[in-house]
Amino acid sequence: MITGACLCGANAFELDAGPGPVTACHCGQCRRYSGFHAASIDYDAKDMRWLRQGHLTRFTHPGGSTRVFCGKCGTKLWFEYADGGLSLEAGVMDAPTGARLAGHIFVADKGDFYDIADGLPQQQGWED
Amino acid sequence: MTTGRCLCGDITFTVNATPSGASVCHCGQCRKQSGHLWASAQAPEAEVTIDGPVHWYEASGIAERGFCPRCGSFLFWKAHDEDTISFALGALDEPTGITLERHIFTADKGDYYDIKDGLPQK
Repeated sequence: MITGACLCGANAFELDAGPGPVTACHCGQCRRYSGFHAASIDYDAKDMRWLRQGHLTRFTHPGGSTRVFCGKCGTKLWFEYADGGLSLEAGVMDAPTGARLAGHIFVADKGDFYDIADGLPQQQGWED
Repeated sequence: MTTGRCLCGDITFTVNATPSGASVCHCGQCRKQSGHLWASAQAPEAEVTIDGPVHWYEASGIAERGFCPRCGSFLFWKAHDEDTISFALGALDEPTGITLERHIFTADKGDYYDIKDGLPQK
């Protein structure tokens, strides 16, 4: 089980799934949002149990995907794909997570101020 | 000149000094607020112009963190007793002219990734 909470404590969850792979996203949107690049774990809604929710703020892109964060403390919570799929922001997880970063996507759009040097698989976009 | 903006564009900023100290922060607060890791550089506060409705959150007694209340972009970190401000590298318009120099608060890093880029850690 993965647990986590936002910085101010308004949001807390238990995720009943074994941790799936963590994917790092280097697209321009994730970079502006996070301040560096994103990392998240896809999950099923049926496995998620929110113990508390508060100050939830939703930002929806023109393409239909939505980013959800705590409007009080700014903690990033989850990403909703346009097709309804869900992805948990990796930084909100408590340790030990049992999770592992497995690869990088949208590396063609990565920032010019860093290199990716961990040897994990890289995809130029969503899929090569 | 260094310029940046949040994801939705409600907040823009301009840095009129040469940024310094480009680093990745692995502290638990930055990891939650960024969603993974936060990369920033700093400049004298007097040389940074911010336009837009930044929402400031004080996660500790020593500093406050600024983000966009509409799109959530984590943009700024400001210590109360310093005259500098840190700004997110991911928010910058390219070319940034900036290269990461180090990792900080690596004792608090997440357990799901490794740091392998060879940069100094503290």
